[in-house]
Amino acid sequence: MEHTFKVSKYIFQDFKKALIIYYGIIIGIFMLMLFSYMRFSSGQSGDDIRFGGFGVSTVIFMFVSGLNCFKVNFKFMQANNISRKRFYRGTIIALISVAALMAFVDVVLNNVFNQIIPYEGVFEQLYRNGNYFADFVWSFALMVLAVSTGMFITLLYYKCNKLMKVMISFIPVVLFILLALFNNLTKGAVAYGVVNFFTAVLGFENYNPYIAVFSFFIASAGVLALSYGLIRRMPIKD
Amino acid sequence: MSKIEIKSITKDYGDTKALDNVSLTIEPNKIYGLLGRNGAGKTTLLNLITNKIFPTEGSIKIAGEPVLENDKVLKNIFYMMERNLYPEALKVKEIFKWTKEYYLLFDIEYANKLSDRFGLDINKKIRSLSTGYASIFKAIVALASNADILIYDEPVLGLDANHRNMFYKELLANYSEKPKTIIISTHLIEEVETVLEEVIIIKEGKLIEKKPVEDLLASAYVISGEASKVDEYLKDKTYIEEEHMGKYKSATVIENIQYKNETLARKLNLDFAKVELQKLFISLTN
Repeated sequence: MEHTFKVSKYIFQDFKKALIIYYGIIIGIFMLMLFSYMRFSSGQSGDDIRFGGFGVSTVIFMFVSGLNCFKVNFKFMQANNISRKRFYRGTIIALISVAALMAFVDVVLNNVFNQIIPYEGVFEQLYRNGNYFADFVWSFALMVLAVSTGMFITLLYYKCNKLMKVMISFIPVVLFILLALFNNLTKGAVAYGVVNFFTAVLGFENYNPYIAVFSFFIASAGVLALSYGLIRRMPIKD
Repeated sequence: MSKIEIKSITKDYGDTKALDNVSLTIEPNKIYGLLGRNGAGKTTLLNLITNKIFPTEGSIKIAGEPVLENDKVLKNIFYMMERNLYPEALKVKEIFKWTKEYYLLFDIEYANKLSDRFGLDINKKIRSLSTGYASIFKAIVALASNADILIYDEPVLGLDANHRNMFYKELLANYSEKPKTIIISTHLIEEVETVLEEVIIIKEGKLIEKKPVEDLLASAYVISGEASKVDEYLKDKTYIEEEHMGKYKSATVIENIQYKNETLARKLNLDFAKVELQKLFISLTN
């Protein structure tokens, strides 16, 4: 286990610089928001100016981090003769730790921003819920899913040959076209079904974020299991 | 002590058989040379021993344990690959620091000392190292790893003669201080000949020879003298590598040195000499 944590330590270290830059930018944007607010707001409670939603950029950051967390780290661990399963475990621990850290920082920043300017985080906007713990758990689960999905896509592309890469890239396009086609044939039933499905699994029906947390964790578990299947016999490629 | 047991290993890449039913045992604390022509299967064998790729058939055990995805075994092996697997954005000294995390016996002080001796700037990033210095860097990491098994795939690639000489000397000094199993895969047979204790020769994916260097060198000898007299000596003998110099010539006779005909040689005024490993290698792999 000690060795696994050392893998996590390296990957976490790799994230450190990116995290500092990312939150530096977020704080910079907040300063701009604050300046705009002070410049354009009359200070009356009826003002229409509202800010919010940097959480979406954190989710995108995690997804991109997932996309970038494999190749260089895998090769370095191979240089150090670390087995693939240990690398996998170490990576998951690092990514989950980063997700927890970012979810925590996001919740803290949301509330700090909220005290200074009229600001609403993504969670609050979606669930009309100001509970810090719920916000943290929901953000954490969503970030785990984002980073796992990013990593899975990278693994898939890394493992496949050129032809398979092209095929994989076309599958979402083909699926989208087929869905649109079926949607037309069924007079909107497919779109309706998709919306209903997401409303249910994201807990929008009764504004219950824990249904979404459960869905995110189930999806993450599935994606991580598929990732393990890909990494088990992964060759070293350039 | 880590004995490496390779049993009936076959590795296919599509229709190509890179290794074909190779079985051999590598004894601990010896220096082996893994020799073979380009594409013979040397790197494939090393990649299999170090869990970089997976066999189509067969098994590899180190100290009695299977090598497949086995960290307990893998942490005792250091494999210096020909290709670079290190993050290009990291500095040499940062790689030393991180290697210490995974090889607990890694000696940073020794690595720094070697870097100084070889003229490797530890503040340089990996991406800025020349081919020669990239090899030096990897060789230093391997030497300082203090792993029980060191595997070098083309360790002196891009090194000048001076650095090559320094590397072989350092390798022997390192081995003398702490004996370990060392496997060197190289094409520079002449240079490495004096370093090796045993050779493993692979040809077209098959093991064709595994012998102590001394025994292999005893399986042939060089005869030289006046060309007509050498020809007389060579009657009914298997020989390779004829070299002519005016009216003189020499030839490598494929015959154990204990069977050489000293009486006839004396009568014909011919001289015997030791065979070179490289010449034998060419004969065996052609």
